[in-house]
Amino acid sequence: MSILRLVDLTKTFGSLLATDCVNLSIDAGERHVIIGPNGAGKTSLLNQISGQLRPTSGRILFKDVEIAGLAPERICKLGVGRTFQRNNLFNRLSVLDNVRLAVLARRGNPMNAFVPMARLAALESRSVEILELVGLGDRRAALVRTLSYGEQRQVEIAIALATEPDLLLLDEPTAGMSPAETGQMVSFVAALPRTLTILMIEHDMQVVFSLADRISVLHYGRLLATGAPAEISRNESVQEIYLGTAH
Amino acid sequence: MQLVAFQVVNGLVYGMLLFLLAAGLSLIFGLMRVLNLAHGSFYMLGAFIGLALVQATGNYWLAFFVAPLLVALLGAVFEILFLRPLYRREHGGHLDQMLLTVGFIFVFVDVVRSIWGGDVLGIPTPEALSGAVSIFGVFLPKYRLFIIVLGLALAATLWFFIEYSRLGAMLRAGVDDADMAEGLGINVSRMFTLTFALGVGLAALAGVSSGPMLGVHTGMDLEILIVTLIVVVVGGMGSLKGALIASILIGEADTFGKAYFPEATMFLTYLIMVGVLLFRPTGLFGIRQDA
Amino acid sequence: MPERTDAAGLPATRIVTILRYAGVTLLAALALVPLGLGDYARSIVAEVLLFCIFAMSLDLLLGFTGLISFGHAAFFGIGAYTVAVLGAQFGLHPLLGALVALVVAAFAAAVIGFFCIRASGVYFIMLTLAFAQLLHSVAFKWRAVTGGSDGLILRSLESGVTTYYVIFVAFLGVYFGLRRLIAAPLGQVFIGIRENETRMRAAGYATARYKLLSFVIAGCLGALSGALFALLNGFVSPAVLFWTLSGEGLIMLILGGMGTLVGPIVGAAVFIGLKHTVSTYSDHWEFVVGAIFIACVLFFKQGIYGWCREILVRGPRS
Repeated sequence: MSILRLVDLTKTFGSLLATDCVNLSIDAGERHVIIGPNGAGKTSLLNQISGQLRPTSGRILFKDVEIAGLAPERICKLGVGRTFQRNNLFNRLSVLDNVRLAVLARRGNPMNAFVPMARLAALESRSVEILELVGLGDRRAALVRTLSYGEQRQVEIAIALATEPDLLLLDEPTAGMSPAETGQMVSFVAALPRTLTILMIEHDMQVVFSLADRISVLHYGRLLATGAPAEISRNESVQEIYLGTAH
Repeated sequence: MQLVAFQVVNGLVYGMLLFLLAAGLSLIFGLMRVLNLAHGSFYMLGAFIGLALVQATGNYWLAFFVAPLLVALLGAVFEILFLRPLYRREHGGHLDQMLLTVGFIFVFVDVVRSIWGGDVLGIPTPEALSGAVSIFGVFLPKYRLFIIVLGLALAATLWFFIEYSRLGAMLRAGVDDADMAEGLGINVSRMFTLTFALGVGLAALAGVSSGPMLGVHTGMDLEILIVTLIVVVVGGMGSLKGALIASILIGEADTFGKAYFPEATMFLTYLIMVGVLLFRPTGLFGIRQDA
Repeated sequence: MPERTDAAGLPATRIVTILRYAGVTLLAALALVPLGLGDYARSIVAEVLLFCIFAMSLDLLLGFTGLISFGHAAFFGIGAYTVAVLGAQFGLHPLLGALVALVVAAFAAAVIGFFCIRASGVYFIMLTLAFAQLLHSVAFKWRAVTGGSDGLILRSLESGVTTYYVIFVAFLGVYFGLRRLIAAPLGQVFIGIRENETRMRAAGYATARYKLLSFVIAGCLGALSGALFALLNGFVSPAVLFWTLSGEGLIMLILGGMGTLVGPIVGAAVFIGLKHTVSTYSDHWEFVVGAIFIACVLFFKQGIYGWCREILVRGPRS
């Protein structure tokens, strides 16, 4: 059962091909990792799926619904959540407020102009629940800008989970993390329920191989290969272009 | 026929003035990401300094060349003293820089009023360009034709400059990242100062050129600023071609509006702007930005 | 209950206690003003209060939603002219006129906001200015209705004291209403948009809709301040739509400190006070406005209120 299908997806910036006729199908519950050298167009691909970028041509089908070119908020409401490569948070707000805004969008009434947010207990308890899940329960009062980089990555994930997605897009979730933090992140992602499909970009090969059901290799916008981790590590052109040079 | 042709030429003349302003505004914004809301004030300063020079020397051409240079110099000092300290702030300080230029609108209007008073003054048309010539049986004032030629020549120069110069290359690449620009081996802060000076110098040139036709008064700063902003909205920020075409379009619309709908002069101009916003929110030639 | 922090990230508890006493004392003093002050002083206080409403409404846009408007005079003018035109042409009671003004402003803000928000970023500030100047030229040219540059004279309320209390009550309503709104989900969404619009959209918010809503609310309250101005002044001219007023709104926010509700109140009070002081000694009021503007942007970005809070948090000696 595929939850996401990319059909001939193409994105050009002027004469540059960021996404070159990509065809990819991702099954419900799958953990799919996209790898590729810098500038391969990985983030551009993710941005098209979540609506930050409008594809030049091709189709994106999420649960058999065309979402290519829809606004990010529409795509989010349909069930696609995401994190950003560089932390993209509400830096001057508290950790709790960061997550609560996302919970509000999904479960509350954002048009409410009369009841103080702090008094909406259901929103708060749900937000705390998510924060405890990602291990930030006791940091809820801190301002996001005062957190460590790794903790901010956790807030990214918490916000994405608070949108209650069926498909979670993670853009380099372990980038800039210490080895210990990376280990925590891997076990956290591994423990997420299989009702959630995960499509992630990752550079750290250890992380890739410990999480991926399948791997796709992107090179200059083209999809070079897709397959199980074992197949990908055997694939000669992949070794040559990516694994051989980068690591 | 005479009347319509005359209006077309007037519209073109106004369009050329608008082009000088819009190109400068776009240039400054494109390179420095600073929205210079005092742009109309530099236009006004150009006109008043030009007027003072004409009154002192009786020589229009001296004013025509020296006033824009003086204003450009003032712009350079302005950039170094007031804009430069703010680049290091959050988001490049661009919001603060814009607010700063708002403050200077107030300062400049007060300074100009203190020196020259609040009346509408005029710069006499230079002798060599007074009178009219007949083209295809239509009599057209020489001075206005001169402004059209001047505007087109400057448009061509600017285009050449942006296509073939280093600064132009930076502009076209849309470099707003100081680190990257330093990497290209360019002294960015000097480049910014020069760009700002050039931009406001063009505005001042428009100001001194407009003197013999539109008069010189303290309300001219905001008057021209609004129309320039509309030109930029219609043409698209950062596009020279857009600035030229939109300037001519808005120049004609404004002139015909004044001639045929004196009760609602701005009506045509705003109608065009609203239409563009409905169908192309980033302007006729602006780059479409993704969400 | 987690420790509350305000927009600037300062711990709120200590400041709240100090400021609450100051605030209650101030409100009590304002309620008693008509008993203790003469006509002139009372009208100055009333003017301050209505400009507080103007500044707070602009702050909802700028300080809370992150939308920089350089055309807020448009709504002040719509409010003032609606009251004046309905009063002068149709004999409508100014208080009813003020209610109509809110409806007119909501409609105008929806239309203007639709266009301004459509072209986002730097275009927003350009378009707000352009639309405000359009209204200014309409007020000038449409002499039959607006009286052109002569303006309109309107009937005032029974007494100056009544006018004062109308303005005072409106001020209280706007202050407490906005305080409620900002603490409520809607206000928090506005703040989220100010902080990071991309993230808000990725979290499922159709931000354009909320920005328009913020624009409409700010427009209505701006019109309320304009209507009260007409009531207090008894006279309306195109000056109420001039760009200088939009600029003065911005300076009130910068001077007082934006992103809070007290900041605009402090800013408006100091600004109006300065205006009356300077105008008696000098003709160069505009120069002074510009100089304050520039000095604040360069050296005093947090504003008076922000500065006071910093002192309260750090203590005066550090």
